[in-house]
Amino acid sequence: MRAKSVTLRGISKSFGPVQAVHPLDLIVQAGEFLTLLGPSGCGKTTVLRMIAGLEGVSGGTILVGDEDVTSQPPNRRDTSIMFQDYALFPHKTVRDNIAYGLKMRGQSAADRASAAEGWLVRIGLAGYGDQLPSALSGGQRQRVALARALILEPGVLLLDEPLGALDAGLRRQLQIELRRLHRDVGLTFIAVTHDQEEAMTMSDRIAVMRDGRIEQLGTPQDIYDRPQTEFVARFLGRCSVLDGRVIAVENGLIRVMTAALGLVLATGIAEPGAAIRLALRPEALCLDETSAARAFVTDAVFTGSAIRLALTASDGSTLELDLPRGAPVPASGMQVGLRVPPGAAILLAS
Amino acid sequence: MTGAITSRALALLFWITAAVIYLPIGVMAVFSFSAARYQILPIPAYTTEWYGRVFTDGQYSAGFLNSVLLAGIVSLAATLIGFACAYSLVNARFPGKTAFTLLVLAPLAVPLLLVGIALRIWTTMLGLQPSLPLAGVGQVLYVLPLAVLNLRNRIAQLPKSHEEAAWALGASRLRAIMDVILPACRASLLATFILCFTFAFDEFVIAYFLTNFSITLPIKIWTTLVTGFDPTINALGTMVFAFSLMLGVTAQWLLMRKDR
Ligand SMILES: Nc1ncnc2c1ncn2[C@@H]1O[C@H](COP(=O)(O)OP(=O)(O)OP(=O)(O)O)[C@@H](O)[C@H]1O
Ligand SMILES: [Mg+2]
Repeated sequence: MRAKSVTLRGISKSFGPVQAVHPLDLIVQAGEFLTLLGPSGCGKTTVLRMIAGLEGVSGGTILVGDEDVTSQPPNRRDTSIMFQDYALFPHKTVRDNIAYGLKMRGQSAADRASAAEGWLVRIGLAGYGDQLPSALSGGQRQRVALARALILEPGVLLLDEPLGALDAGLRRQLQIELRRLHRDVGLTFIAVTHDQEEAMTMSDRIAVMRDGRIEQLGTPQDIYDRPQTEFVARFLGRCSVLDGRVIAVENGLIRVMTAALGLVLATGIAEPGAAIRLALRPEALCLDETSAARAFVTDAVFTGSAIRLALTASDGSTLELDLPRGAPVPASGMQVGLRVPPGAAILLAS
Repeated sequence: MTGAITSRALALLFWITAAVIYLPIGVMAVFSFSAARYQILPIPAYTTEWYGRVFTDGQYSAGFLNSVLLAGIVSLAATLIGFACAYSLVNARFPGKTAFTLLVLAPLAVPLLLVGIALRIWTTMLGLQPSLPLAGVGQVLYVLPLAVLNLRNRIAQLPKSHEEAAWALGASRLRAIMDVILPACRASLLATFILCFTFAFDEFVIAYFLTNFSITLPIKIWTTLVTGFDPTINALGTMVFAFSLMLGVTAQWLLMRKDR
């Protein structure tokens, strides 16, 4: 198999006084689609560029497959990178752009042309070979950039905000296409994005980054359902945060006394007596008139798939709750009862 | 109201400046068609005789050929060396880069006379005989800052990612320069060549100090003027002016036009 694993051992990067990446460990399996997800400036691009060899490391080692490539220049690494601006060569035709890597490998003009033609068909741009990149739309350029990077069948493909320059509709379509392409070519993909929906749609695993560190690594479900920190919980979607104290541990769950909602059975491991925080997704919270936990409705917003209620609990904290469509919507100012299903609230690391 | 007045004043200023620059040349152009041996008014009769002389006098055409040849080689060398310097200035990170940049560009501010004398002293110390090739080397040093400045601006505009993409696809550093940077600089390279050419073509001081009176056109004009006025100079000057203006306009046009 062509796909190669990537192993980062304690790699770090500083630009003068700015520590862009703190020593970081990560193993990306061969054939995996891993996404680095995080807010602007957290060091995602820097990590990607270090893997590609476009940026030297300040410390640590990088392995592609079994080979230590830490001191190899980009043209000696079995990696390909797709840039956010695509970086198509403006004075070369689409065909010559796609075939450029093969030319550098010394393949004959005939072989290059037929390989490029194959990719043009594959990306749905047959007949565009003689155009210049400036004649293409954003989505078409993105595909050409992909084909150019993939024609070499690199062990690892690096993608920096691969869909960042496109409009919302096209993004959603291409997320699916990228995922399918990954399955078809069977190579290792490492992508960078700040869009959590994009990361969840495309990836096998996500590494959530913050301030030059990996805050959590796991499958999209893992990260969404079991965020370990408030930062991850909030970055992956809407959530309410509850302060509380552990009363008891039972059946693998913890019984927590919260100020906002009273007793809650939550997922996690903690010592009785510990002061802790819980995260609660809007779709996990339910209305229940028989419940003793009360809150006032302050607002109701239509989100497309649900009605999202904003609530103020008795202790003054704010909560969010998703009502399924069709359910009766309580008016603003009304008092409602709330119930947290056992295990729905998640313990956050302090 | 004041806006209109300001813009009129600016327009006036422009025309005065243009007049100050072009009037003397215009006068020269008019006298180049005068049949009189001296510059007297009114002009007694009109002739193109002096233009004919420029082409029949072997010394002028030899000077012209020398100048074109010298300026051509000098500009080619300066453009190539300038490109290499500009590329390193944009891309390399080394201590003292700012100082180096200033050092490369500073000769622009040094009086040419000093440059000429310094070069003469230096080459004499090295035991080099004054000659046309030596003057060429001197002129390369003279126009190099222009070339570096011009090309550095262009290279700095190019997105770094294009070159990086080439590296990632297997290109060596040199290969990426040839495939990605050079094609994007075509118009700037041509403009730089022409700009250097106009400067080297007109250059007198260095040529004067570093040759043994080998005739380039400016030196021929100088010696003619020193030994007594010859109306041929008016005709020659007018032609050289038209030639230089054409080159200059072309260079500016190339620079303003977007490199594709
Ligand atoms: N060449 C550089 N010189 C100096 N500082 C840099 C350089 N490249 C990145 N940085 C700094 O390193 C930090 C991380 O940058 P990086 O580009 O990796 O962030 P990012 O996560 O990709 O952000 P974005 O989502 O905005 O692209 C930032 O603080 C940035 O200012
Ligand atoms: Mg980035």
